[in-house]
Amino acid sequence: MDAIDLTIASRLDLVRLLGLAVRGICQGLPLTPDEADALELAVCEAANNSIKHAYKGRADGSVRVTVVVDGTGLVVCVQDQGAPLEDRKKLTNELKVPQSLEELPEGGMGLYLIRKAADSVGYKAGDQDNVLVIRKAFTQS
Amino acid sequence: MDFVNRIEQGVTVVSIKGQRLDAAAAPLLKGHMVDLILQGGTLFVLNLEEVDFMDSSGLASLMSSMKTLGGRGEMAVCCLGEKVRKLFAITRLDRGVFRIFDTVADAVASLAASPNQS
Repeated sequence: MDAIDLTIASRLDLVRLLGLAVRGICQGLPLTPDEADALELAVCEAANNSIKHAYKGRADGSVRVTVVVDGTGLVVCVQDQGAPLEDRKKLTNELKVPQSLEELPEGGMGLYLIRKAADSVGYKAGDQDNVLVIRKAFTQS
Repeated sequence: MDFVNRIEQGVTVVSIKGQRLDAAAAPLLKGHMVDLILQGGTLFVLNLEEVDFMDSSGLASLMSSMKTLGGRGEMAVCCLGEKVRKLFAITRLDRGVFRIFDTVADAVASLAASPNQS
């Protein structure tokens, strides 16, 4: 099992570095370009959520991404030490098709995009850390 | 991220100069669009040709701009790359809420013929 740790300060302008790193890792794995795109987006969305919601925009925290790869797929853990996600329903909410300006979603799209990229998504709020776990199996040989 | 505005047939074409419309850049676009709307603009085409990566915050900045514009005008997007087009499809925002065109010329022509054109 191979693993890599990536850590940034909790600043939105640094999230692109996580995305680019994960994209680079995915390009060396048996994933399609669409799957790699989706995983890059998912990691960026998860890190954005940590910074915007867990740290509430504070730049003095850190966001740690651990990518673990084995022969069957990869697991990406996105970890922060901020406030835990309060509304767990957001982890499973489906997006409605908006029919008008008033129905445009104000939020929740990030977690939806994470779910679309993954085979499964888990979340655990601990005493010290909150961890979002994204699992994706390899579909190519 | 920078923006270049030009007027064509009464339509303000805003070209986004930057590859990433992400959570770091989204407030800049939102602020730019609010400024243009407060200056009296009503018809807008956002040219996303250079944007290679967009996240939900980027989408939210487009939606927020549309809400600010309200019923006073129209906004369209054009020149979407494949990844951005997929994002609109996954979030189902390509089903009528956003008017999406392949070219600036097509978008301008459609909005210039709009009833909101003064």
